[in-house]
Amino acid sequence: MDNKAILGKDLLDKSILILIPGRKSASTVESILKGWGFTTVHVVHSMIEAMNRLQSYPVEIVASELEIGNSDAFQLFRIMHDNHDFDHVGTIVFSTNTTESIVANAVEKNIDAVISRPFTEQTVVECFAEVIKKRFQPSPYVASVEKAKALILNKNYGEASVILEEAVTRYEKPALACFLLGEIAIHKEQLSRAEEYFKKGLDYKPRNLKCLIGMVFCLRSAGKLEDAYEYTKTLIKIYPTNQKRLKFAISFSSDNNLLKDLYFFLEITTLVENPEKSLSVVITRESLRHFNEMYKEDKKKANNMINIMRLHSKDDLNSRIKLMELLLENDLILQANKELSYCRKNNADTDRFRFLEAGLLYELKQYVDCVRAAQVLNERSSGFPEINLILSKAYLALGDLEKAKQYSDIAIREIPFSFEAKMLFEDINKKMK
Amino acid sequence: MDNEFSGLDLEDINKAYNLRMLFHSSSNPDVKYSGYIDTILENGVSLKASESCAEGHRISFSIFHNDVKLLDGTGIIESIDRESDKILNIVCVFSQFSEQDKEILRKKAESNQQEINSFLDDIS
Repeated sequence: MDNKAILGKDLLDKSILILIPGRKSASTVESILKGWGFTTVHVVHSMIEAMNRLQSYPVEIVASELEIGNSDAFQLFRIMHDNHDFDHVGTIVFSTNTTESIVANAVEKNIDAVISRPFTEQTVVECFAEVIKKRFQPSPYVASVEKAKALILNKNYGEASVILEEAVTRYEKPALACFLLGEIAIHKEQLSRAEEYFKKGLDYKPRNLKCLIGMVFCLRSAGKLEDAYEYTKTLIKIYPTNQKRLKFAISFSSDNNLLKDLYFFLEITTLVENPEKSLSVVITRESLRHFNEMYKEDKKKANNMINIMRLHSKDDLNSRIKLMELLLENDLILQANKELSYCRKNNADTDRFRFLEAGLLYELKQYVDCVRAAQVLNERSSGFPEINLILSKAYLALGDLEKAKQYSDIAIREIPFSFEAKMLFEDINKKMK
Repeated sequence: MDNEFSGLDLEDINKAYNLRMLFHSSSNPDVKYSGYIDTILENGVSLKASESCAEGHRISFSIFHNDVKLLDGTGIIESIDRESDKILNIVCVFSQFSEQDKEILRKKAESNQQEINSFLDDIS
């Protein structure tokens, strides 16, 4: 392949910045590009060096390794994207462990290409040539779209619309033009019109990420959550690790009792590299009931779910107390005990916590501790008259009939409609006789 | 809306495009290591990994594309460079690395790239 024939001298002179931390790997890419006739290739190994270079020299293509120390290429490109001085710069990511999610993330961040490692010389050169041609020798369609983008940036929606409408009629699969028209409609607060454009874009390209995102935005804004959920599922198939969309999917499936979906989405969170950053999980009684059913059939899966819930409510003591309550209600006693340890360590002392603590200790057959915890609450004028029932049961278990009767009497007085209190009252009286 | 599963499947999503090498030191087969192939070299491959047995160790390896085994063989860890806290660059020289083996890896690397380009085109 003669690269000069593909690109021509003008394009081979484009200034390329390579950011690859590994020196050997960087020099491999540099020598491939130079070997194929690219004349201006500069190599750096860190984010700071790259930023300095970008600020001091004209750069037309930036190609970066995905992982750069503690940062990543997406961060570099986000900084560039926020500064419109770099709007003309072509962007390429090198990635060793490439997944569809990484590619989708790149598309969402307007990155031009992803080069998967290991690459061959040919794929690297073809990819650079493609990006350089797209940026500096664009097809008429790409040129119209870029012109419209610049007009949108300057809020010149009228002129941008004319260009885009023409692009839609003239070129093949103009999904991006449809997306931009939808974006303009959103700026004009014409949501249903925007929805039409996004839908049209999806007719051309059913998996177009931006049109799908636009559809979900319109449908959610219009309160059409069921439809929004369907499009979100398609989006999640393409880009499973996007946290905002996962959060919506979890929330919707939980609210609508779509428990298998909920489980699926929660399971995806375990695939996310940093799950602790990803979600605050919606904990509902219904979802926990579902996990409880699974617990019987598949302990590992259910434990996994509970760990996810635990992980996501880790900084919030009230959430952990709530989780403890749900686990206790669902007879997941050992799991609830873990929550008890966490809450104790973090000095939980609300009335609800003390009430749950006493109840859990009773279930764990730690009757002395149960009595001690219940007394703490009983000394306060709490809104938990059921604590007398727990005290009565605990004293009964300890063989102290007098005390059991004392608290059973209070329980039957304070919670007269409790079947359990009534049964206990009768049982103790029988034993006393 | 009923509670039928929506047809989503974990296996359907987030397809990976990589060549992964699993290996173990010949002297200690119980401890397994893995890394993603970064570059195909004349006499082996370089890997990105988070941990590895030491330089000079003789290894047995298998290279996979997703779950499909492409190659296996033996070699030696020639060098390890620490790129960051998380990433090691490991160069493995293979005892036998035929032109045919290299071609298998190159072909797979190229088909990976074509699939990425086509996915990227689909969604953008």
